[in-house]
Amino acid sequence: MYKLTMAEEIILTAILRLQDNAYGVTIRKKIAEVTKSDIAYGTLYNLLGQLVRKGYVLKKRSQPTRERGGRSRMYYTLTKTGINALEEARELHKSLWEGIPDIITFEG
Amino acid sequence: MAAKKRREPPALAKWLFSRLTIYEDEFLSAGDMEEEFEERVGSEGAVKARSWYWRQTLKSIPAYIVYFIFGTLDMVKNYFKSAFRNMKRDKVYTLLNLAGLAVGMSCFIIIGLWVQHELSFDEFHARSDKIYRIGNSVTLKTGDERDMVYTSAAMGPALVEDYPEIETATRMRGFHGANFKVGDKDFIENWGFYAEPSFFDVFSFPLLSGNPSDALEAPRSIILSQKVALKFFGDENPVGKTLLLNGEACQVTGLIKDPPSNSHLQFGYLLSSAGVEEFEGQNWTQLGVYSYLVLKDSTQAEAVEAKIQALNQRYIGDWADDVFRYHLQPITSIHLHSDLVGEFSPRTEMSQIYLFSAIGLLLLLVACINFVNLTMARYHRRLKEVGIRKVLGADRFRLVLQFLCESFLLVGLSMGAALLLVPVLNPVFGFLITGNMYLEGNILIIIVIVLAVGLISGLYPAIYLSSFQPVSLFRKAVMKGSHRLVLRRLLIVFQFTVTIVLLIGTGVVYTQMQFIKNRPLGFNREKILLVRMNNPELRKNYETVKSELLTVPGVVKATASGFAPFLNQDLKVYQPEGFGEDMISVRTLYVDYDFLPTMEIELADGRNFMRKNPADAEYGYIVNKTAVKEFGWDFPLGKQIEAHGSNENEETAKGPVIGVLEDFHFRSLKEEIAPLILRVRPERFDFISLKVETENLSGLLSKLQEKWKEIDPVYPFIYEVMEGIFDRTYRRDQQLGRGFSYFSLISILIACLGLLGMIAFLTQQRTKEIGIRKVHGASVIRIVGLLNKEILILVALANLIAWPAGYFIMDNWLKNFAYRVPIDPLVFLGSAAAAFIIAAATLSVQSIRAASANPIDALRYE
Repeated sequence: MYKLTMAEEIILTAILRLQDNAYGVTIRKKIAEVTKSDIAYGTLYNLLGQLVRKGYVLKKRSQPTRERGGRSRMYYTLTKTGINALEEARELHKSLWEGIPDIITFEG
Repeated sequence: MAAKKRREPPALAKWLFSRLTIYEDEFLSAGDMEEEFEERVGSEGAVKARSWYWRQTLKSIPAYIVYFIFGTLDMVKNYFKSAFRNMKRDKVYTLLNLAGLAVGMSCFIIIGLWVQHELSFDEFHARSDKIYRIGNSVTLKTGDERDMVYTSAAMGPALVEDYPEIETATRMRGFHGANFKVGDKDFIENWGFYAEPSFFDVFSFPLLSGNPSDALEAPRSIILSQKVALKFFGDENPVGKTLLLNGEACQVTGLIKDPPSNSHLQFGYLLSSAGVEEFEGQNWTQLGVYSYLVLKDSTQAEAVEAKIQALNQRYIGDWADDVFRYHLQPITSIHLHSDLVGEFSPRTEMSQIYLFSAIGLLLLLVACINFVNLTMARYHRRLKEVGIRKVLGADRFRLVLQFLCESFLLVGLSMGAALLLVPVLNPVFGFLITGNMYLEGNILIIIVIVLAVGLISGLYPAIYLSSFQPVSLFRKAVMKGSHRLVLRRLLIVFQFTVTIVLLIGTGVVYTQMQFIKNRPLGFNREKILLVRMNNPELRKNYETVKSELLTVPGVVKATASGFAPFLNQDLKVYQPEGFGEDMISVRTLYVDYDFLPTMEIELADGRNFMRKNPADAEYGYIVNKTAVKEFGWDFPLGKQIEAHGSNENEETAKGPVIGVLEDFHFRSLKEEIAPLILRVRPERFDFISLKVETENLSGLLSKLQEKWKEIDPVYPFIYEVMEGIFDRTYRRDQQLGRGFSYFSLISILIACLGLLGMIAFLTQQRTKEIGIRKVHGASVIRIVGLLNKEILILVALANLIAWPAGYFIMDNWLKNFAYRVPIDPLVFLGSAAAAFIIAAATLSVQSIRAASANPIDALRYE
């Protein structure tokens, strides 16, 4: 059991979706796109740092690029553990929602 | 140019963000921000982009703070973990260190608790800051002034009546030697007071049962303390029951909580003052009760003092101001600062509190020093760790923090051990602890102590150890130059100074106590029992009582006296021949014909009182040699003395001196021998002294008790052994002596632990030197001497400081005694010798091991 938090899950899925193009700017944008909320870079780096320490994510420095004025980017990719953790989260969601109709009516 | 600048992110925000993101690769993270910023400049324009940049920066602050806190906690957690490992790795060191600190801290806590207890006297009363006792400074006919606790019974009610700023007043009077009869059982309870209903308006002694407003209303109603009630009635509620007090029936109307140990009023029962003669009188010059006042909140004590003084004019007359001067004593100051005539509980002197506080602090400091020395002794084991941490990027601050964490951990553990030690050591220090003391409520203080001790003892090693450059740490030859050790040498000197001063104190107190014990007092106080005659009927027939008691086998001699001799004397006013109209007050003992032979007091001149000469009893005087000198007589026998009565009922008696006594110590040795007059006054006799000759004292006592029941069926047999009285006189000094000896032992113990650390350090440093010396043929003894010499010089230095300090302190203490030993140089030499021997023995444990090690091991190393 990895027990991802919601925030971790969101970031990991964002990295997963971005494939090879996951770095600060794109991750933040992806999150904003999915959750419709803006996350501060500071918060994002904190969470990324946590995920790195937990071994879900690997950091990798790119070659210097022209867009950044000759500076390199920090790319993030999922590790095997990170993928396992996401799989587990997906299974958990599935079993949590199983048998519940798409439209939930509230009978009050 | 301007356009280009606007395309840049705001400089201040950029800087701020770069500061905030120290946790990640700040260069790269700032790069992310800039990339998005440029994008936004393109899509939204520079102004919006700049404001976005600012918002991003500010929004990142909370995340940074959270990170910083967790990061530091994480670091500290790591430090504690490695501290634990270090402690486990070197168990002996940890144990020595823990033991020293724990003992030092537990002493400190015990002394602290005692000081707290002594300083908290009478603060439990709800109005403690507004309660005052009236002190009465009375000028006697002779001009002597006597400051006493007694006031007129009329004063309290008059004060409440006349002055609205006095909220309430209550009067009390001591009630001693009460014989209770409950059912068919007899009890003797010595401590009680007469009190009136307003007692409960002034003091906060809670009634557990009964009604405070009327419990003391009716005559002969009595309130019992828990302790006494338990003794009399067991667990039953005593309220409503009756008992006999000195033969008279009393009704129990209340059960009161036992007075706490930090109350200057200690009692087992309170007896209603209603109908008691001493409380009814309107005689303003008869002083018989204690008066306590509660002032209204806004009232100042000084203003009230003047108003109390004004009562003299109103109720007594003009002359009274020359005789009675009143002053108010805050109730909380009585225990420490009041020493009036008639004080009813033993006080503690401020100087004793200072002295013991100083000892407590010094012991704690000695323990801290110990910690420093022991930590430094094994610093070399940590150098590599420090080096590696430094190479891996730890800065100085983090290293200091790490070492401090270690010392906090160790101090915290020692504190735990100290808290466990306190109840164990408490009985050992029983001489200090007079009441219950509680650790509860001191948790904050304990935490402060841990932090302070941790900081004091951890800071120096932390700063020292973190100061090395990593490069030098990995080289073999670390640290040359012994100047580094100056501070630690000073610390050892300090430790031993404290120890030697305590040793000197122990020695001086001991010799003085021996001196007191062995000094001929001029009479024989051994094997004398004092029996109290409470029944006024008995006093008239004291000769019969004596002869009855003499029939008990084992009782050799008996004599009656007024006051317990050597405990108390009357102070009477006399006009000796040649004094003209002048008067002098002289201590006076009332004795019978057998007093001198029973006490084995020598006559220097003249004769004893004689039964066959009735004039002796009427107006014969025996004086001591000091009195003769005081009166200025060359030939005392036959000189006339006129005694003045202290009140109207007492007649004036004029008569000749019939005998002169050799001086004997009728007071404690703290006082000079004063003039003394002996007279025969049977109506004042209230004690009988018995000289006993027996192997089986308890058997004799039970026989005496039986005999006493025949003689006096009402009052119990109350006795005291004369030597016990003497011991009590010096109780506080013996306390001090015991305190010195215990604390010096502890101080020695701790200092030795410190020495162990120091010598371990020195031998470690000089391993190679020792090896080379041995190879060149030095003997083990030579090397041990070499190693010990260095520290023994420090001990010698400590002696140089401790001698004058010890002399100064103890000389001051000896000034309490009129008769004292000169300070014996042997005490100083002995203390020095003890310090040297103990230090050398401790050192040798380690240095012999170092010296006898195989030199190959020391030299092969490189």
